[in-house]
Amino acid sequence: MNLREFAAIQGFETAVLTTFEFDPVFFERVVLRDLIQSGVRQVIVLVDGPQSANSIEAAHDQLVDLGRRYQLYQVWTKGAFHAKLAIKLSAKSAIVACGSANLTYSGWLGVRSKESSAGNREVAGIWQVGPNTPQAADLKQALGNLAGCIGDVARTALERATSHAWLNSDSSQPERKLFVTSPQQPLAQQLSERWADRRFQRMWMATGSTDQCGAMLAWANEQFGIQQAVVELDPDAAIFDSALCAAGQTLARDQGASTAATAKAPSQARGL
Amino acid sequence: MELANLPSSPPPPEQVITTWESSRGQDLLGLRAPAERIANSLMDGVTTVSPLVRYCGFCSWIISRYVELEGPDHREVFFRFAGKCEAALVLGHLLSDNTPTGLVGTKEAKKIIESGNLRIRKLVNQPATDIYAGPSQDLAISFARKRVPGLSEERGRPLAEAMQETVGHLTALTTIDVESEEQEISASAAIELANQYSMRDPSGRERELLIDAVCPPVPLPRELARLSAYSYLLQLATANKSHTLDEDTVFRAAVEGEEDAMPSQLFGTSDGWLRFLIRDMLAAVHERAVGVVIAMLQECPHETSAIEKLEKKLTELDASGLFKSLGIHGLSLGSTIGELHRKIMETVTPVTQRCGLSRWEADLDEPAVFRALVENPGPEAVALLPVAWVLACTRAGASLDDGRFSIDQLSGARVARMGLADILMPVVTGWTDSAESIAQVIARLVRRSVDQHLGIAWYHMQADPHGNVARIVSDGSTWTRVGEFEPGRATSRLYQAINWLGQLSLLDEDGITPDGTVLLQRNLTVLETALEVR
Repeated sequence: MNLREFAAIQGFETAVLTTFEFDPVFFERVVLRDLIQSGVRQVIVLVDGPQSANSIEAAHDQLVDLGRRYQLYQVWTKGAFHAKLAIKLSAKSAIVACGSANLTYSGWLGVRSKESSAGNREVAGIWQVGPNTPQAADLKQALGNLAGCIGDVARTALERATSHAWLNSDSSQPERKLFVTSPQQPLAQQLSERWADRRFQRMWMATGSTDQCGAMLAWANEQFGIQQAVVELDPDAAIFDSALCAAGQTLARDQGASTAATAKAPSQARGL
Repeated sequence: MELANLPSSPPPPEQVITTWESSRGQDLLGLRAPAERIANSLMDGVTTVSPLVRYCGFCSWIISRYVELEGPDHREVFFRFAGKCEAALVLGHLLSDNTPTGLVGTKEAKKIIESGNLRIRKLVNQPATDIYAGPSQDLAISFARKRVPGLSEERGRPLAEAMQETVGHLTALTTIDVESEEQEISASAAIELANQYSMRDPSGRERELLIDAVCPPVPLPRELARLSAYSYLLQLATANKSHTLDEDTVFRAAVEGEEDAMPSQLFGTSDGWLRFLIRDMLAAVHERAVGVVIAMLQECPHETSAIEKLEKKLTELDASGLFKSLGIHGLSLGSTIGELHRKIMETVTPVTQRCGLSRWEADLDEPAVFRALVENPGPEAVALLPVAWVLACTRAGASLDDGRFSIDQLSGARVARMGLADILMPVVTGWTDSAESIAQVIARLVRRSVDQHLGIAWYHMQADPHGNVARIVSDGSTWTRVGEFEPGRATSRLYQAINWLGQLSLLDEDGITPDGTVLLQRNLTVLETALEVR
């Protein structure tokens, strides 16, 4: 998975990118260049307000394309604006990249190889979206959710940039594989609706950070009957505390062979 | 990644991996380029990989001989022929035990001699004929064509004819054909060639023509700067008879200006080298800062550190000794940047101003910063960052609005290369009454140095999607070391130019030679006339 290759795919005039962390210099010099060289003419970036305020201030005198070749909108919302979506649109179709990668050097490029110790361990999936498909309905809904958590000016710009007839007149049923959360529609609610009345035995998940008490694990147990969870996490950012976990949960830590390579290599916590 | 191959529904996520080749690059902060642009505008022709001026003559003969043999207009065939001629020359010098530094292909030639089977062929991927093509074109000896270079009527052909008189009868060269990949050569023929045509010492008519190419009596408009640059060296050699001319002498003269001792025609060159020094100083201190960060990361677990933690370490350094060595007394990193600014300004009160450049008598100047970098190999050298910024602005800040003299215009430095007007001046102006500590400022400038390195690495990525010259990975709050970094300075090419003057017998151990003196007078007259015309 190479997100630079995604940015370089030709045939799309508009790009909408969302991120939590934002490195504006890296964005201008790498991501934006890749997009422009691929034929993109309109770029909208939605970033978490508090995160981006500092990074833009620190780099303000190095930025040459902000407001000229891309429009950046800071999102000030309850909690963090954490969506990481990259959408390239044309008058006929779209391609989407969704995952954990921020618009930063270590996020967008990830690692140099699986064995590499430098760079972030990120994941993403890329797919194409055609008219009259469940994926188009998903995308339409995701854009709607995004519009719901941004200000009026940003919303107008986003709606104008994504106002393609094929997307907005689509009446397909959503596949519900693409979620954009908002204070009104948190992930728990969307997952509950997605898998309503379904029960599962095991769950695998990967995360950059955790809470102390494993509330999400307790919720998954209650909502879906999850009995065993494998959580890949960053040991520096994970703060699971077995003393605080709900009754009946047990946490085991498995440092595994792969953790020897780097502090950021995933270790695993097995619980429930 | 092809559009047609993308799935039509969200696939399971995959790890984000961006593979890249390890690229080698010298200017990893992009700050040497502005200095070198100034140096190039002062002195074209000579490069770091063209130490032997006589190759310009030899290559002109190769082109002429190839045409005489009716070689095809085919690049590969031409360089194969040129490679054989060069191989004969190298073998001859090696066999006669007279090998100057800079001869192209000596490594392979030694292997041929060791094999006992003397044969000539193209020895290196890039033969001297290709390496010296740029200098020869700058000197208007040859001109670029798509496949086989051409010779200019004014300088190239006469040079080739003079060469023909010297080597045209030597079997080592006359037996070389256009067609074959390899040919035999006798040791005696090769030695005869080297004895008749030593690469160390251009002589006779060829030498005169090479001198006229480097310092033309009738220069093209674009050659006036070069004429002035070589005259400047000859003038300094006249004034510095007691010791050998070197780069430091040139830089010292540029810093001092020497209005009384220097003909006015050469002021522009003196100012040019001073502008080079300013940009070179900025490159050197910022490269050292990145070197310090990389050395500190090397000591951290997994070669990774939170940026703030690293910055805190930098603020705890003791730089009072460094400041004292620069003549700035009573300051530590806890002092305010306003105090540092004031103390520097008290020391470097400008005495003269010429073409927008300030000069002063105190020793706190660019060479002093270079000395301090050498004398302080540890992390405390980062304390030179704000000193260099203040010096650069004091030196060249007055002319930033004047397109003729603006260091930004002449170096091409804007935002991305830390131009003075865009980046340094607004910051340094803000330091005059700032209560911020020097330590805080240094931390910010160190971060800026790393950002500068990363920014340049990202520029490289635009051109080469699979190349990455970054030595640090940043995720916003942490830095990880991912490669070696050798801090350095910009290349002036003064060493090579001074060597050319030596090879042309215009300079020797005692300074300027009689021929050099005559040439200097001629050059000054030509320059004076050119300036009057302007």
